[in-house]
Amino acid sequence: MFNDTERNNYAQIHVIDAITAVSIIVLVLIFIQTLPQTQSVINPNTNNQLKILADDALRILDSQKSSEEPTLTKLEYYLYNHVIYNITSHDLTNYLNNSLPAAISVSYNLWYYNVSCDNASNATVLWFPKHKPRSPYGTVVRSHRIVLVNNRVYDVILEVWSL
Amino acid sequence: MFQSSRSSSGAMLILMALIMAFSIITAAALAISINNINIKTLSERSRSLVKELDMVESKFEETLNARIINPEFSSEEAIYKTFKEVVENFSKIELTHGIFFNATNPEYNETLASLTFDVVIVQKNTKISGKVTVTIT
Repeated sequence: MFNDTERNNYAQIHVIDAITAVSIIVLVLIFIQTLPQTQSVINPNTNNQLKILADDALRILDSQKSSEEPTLTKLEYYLYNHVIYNITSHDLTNYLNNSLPAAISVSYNLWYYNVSCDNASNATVLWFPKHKPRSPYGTVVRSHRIVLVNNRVYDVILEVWSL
Repeated sequence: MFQSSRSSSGAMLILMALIMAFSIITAAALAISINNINIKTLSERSRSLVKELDMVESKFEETLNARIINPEFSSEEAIYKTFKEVVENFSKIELTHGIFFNATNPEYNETLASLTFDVVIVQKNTKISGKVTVTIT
């Protein structure tokens, strides 16, 4: 029915089909290999992670009861001590140092804002460091927690940045 | 007959290759989007207003309760006045963080000793609003 020439032609066409199919698969594999490389540029943003850590640090501090004064949370107790007696607890600074990652250099300032204070210049008070705020570097992430002390509303602000 | 069989065999091979190619592309696209979920979730979580609303609600209730002493002996007017003061305090605080906060239409239910009001929190393009009920004890 078919002579040798025709058979050779069909065989060649078949080989070309196979080569085309393999080429498509190889091209797809090359395409896939290049895709993750472009996507891997997007890394989890350090500032987003810092914001979550700072939020969590304040939230946990405000959800645990103080051992010294069980009617208050730890954050309320530390703030009470600072507002009334100007005492900054080492427990607070140790807690914050441990809450923020040590693997990357992270620095922070802790402030509180007295919303009832009429004098705007005195409304925001530096809590830690005691005397002078650290100079922020790059993008500063701010986390805050509203705290009630002696019927007055305060806003505790934690400023965090990575060096 | 033989020629037709050969042609269809070639066409099937091409078709198979195309199906395989599209399957691999789809799988790769899905894998990449799954891989990015962590990044997107992290970003959304760090900017989420839900946590802010949750904190404001609980602190609002706490502040109201601390300031309204003996609610059964307080007039509705006094309760609404305290409510307004607390709203002003909280709006001021939230504004320092670039967040608009407002609470309106307070309705005090004497029987349930609860205060229901509308609350709205806005930051950039994100807005959360709804009705909040706090218990006055």
